[in-house]
Amino acid sequence: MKELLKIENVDFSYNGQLVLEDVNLKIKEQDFLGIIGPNGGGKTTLLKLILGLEEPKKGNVRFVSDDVRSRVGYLPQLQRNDLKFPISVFDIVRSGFVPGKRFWQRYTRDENMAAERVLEEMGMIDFKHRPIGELSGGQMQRAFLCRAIVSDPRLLILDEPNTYVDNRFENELYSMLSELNERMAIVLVSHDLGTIASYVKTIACVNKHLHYHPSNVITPEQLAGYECPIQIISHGEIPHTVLKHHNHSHESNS
Amino acid sequence: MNQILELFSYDFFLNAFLAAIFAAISCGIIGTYIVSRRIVFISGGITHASFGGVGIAYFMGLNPIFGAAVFGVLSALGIQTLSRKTNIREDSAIAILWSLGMAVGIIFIFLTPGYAPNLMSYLFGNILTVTSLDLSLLAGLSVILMLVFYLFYNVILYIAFDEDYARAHHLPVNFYSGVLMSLVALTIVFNIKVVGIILVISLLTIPQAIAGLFSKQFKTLLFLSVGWGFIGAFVGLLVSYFVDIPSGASIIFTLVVIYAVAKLIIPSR
Repeated sequence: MKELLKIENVDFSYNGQLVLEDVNLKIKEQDFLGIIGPNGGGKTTLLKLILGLEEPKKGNVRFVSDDVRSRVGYLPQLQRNDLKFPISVFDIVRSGFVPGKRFWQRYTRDENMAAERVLEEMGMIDFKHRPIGELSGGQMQRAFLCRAIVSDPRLLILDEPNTYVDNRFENELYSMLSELNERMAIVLVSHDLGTIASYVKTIACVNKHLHYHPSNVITPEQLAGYECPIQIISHGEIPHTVLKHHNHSHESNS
Repeated sequence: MNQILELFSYDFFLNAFLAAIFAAISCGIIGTYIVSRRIVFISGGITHASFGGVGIAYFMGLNPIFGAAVFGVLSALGIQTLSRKTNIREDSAIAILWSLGMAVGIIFIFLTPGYAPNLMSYLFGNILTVTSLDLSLLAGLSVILMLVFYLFYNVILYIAFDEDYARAHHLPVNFYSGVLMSLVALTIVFNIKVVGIILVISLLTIPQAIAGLFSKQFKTLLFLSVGWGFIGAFVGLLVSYFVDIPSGASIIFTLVVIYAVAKLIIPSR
């Protein structure tokens, strides 16, 4: 598998506090990586470093080529679901093409059709002309996902995609992601591993340090070695999770 | 009706009419931008900060509108940089700038020897006394705004809607925001002669509020705001002339009445 992105020896601090320390990670084509960890553990910071919204204090984040760097789809964390901006769902989805265009260029017929196709796939075509403010949180989340994938990215980054999403759509969302994974690498950040465990292929646990698990099955033995505060996942007929508490060596108890 | 047509034979009225058109275009476009981005308070700060420029220009014997323009643009870019690079609370920073501008303006006008200039015309404006220089500045600005919003429409909408998303895709967000903030400042300053420093913010928000009752699409809002802004300015101008009240106040009052009536008639969605 071809490598898309390499993070090497990255440190990052915010207001003098070390948020990430000596982080190493490789993302390859076809990867479906779940990033988990406690709130404030540096998950979102790691995403910001990948997206170039923050610069590492030490080390570097390297894309294999500018083509890959310019083709990253991103679903930001939905901060609030009371957006009032006067923009339609269709305009939001089409705007996924803006970075690849000259500023004066209008949307082409192909781009409009691609936007409609994605809306269709996500079951959002009926909302095409709706202003964003009239959607529910889950529908907003879907509209933003359409924007992230409309330009056919090589790498798709999702920050807490299940915020505001109801249970029924959550499963639908993850099976859609599995389908997308055939075309693009996916990095998914979540504070709760419950449902995502059976869909991701690998797991990275971030809590100041990053521990990479090359499968989505983590045994208690591995946990003892990695010392990660996460749920333990096992596969049977039905995906289920087994909870186990343990101490993390890098965590302070305060 | 004849009485109104007759008015157009007067130069001062024709100028006022043209000023109403250009004020509607510039404030309609920029107002839609600031209302959508929720930067109305920042715009209020820029408006009052520009009064500092008026005072300094008076003191130095220059045309106040240029002093206000320089002050307005610098404070617009200043607020943008401050809120991005420091931890100062943005609303406090704006409030400081807001009153500092007024203070500087008052100090310099006080220090200017001789007859104290007519402060009222800057605070409350008078569309009936716009000069041909004011008019050309407003006209030029309106043309630039129409061009910018036509050519850059997709990018402006993209960045205004989701700045972080645009940054994540390596667009020159700071450059675009800087250009737009400068245009916000120039729109405010060039419209000061029409409705004055205290009232200009309403020309940037009330037409948009009326337009918002009819549409939730950025592009439609642009056109509707220009339209309602013009109707408000023109009707307000006539009321001001016939009832003999200050034009700035009568324009704003007309707009608010239109909004109230529209709000009552149109069922809320």
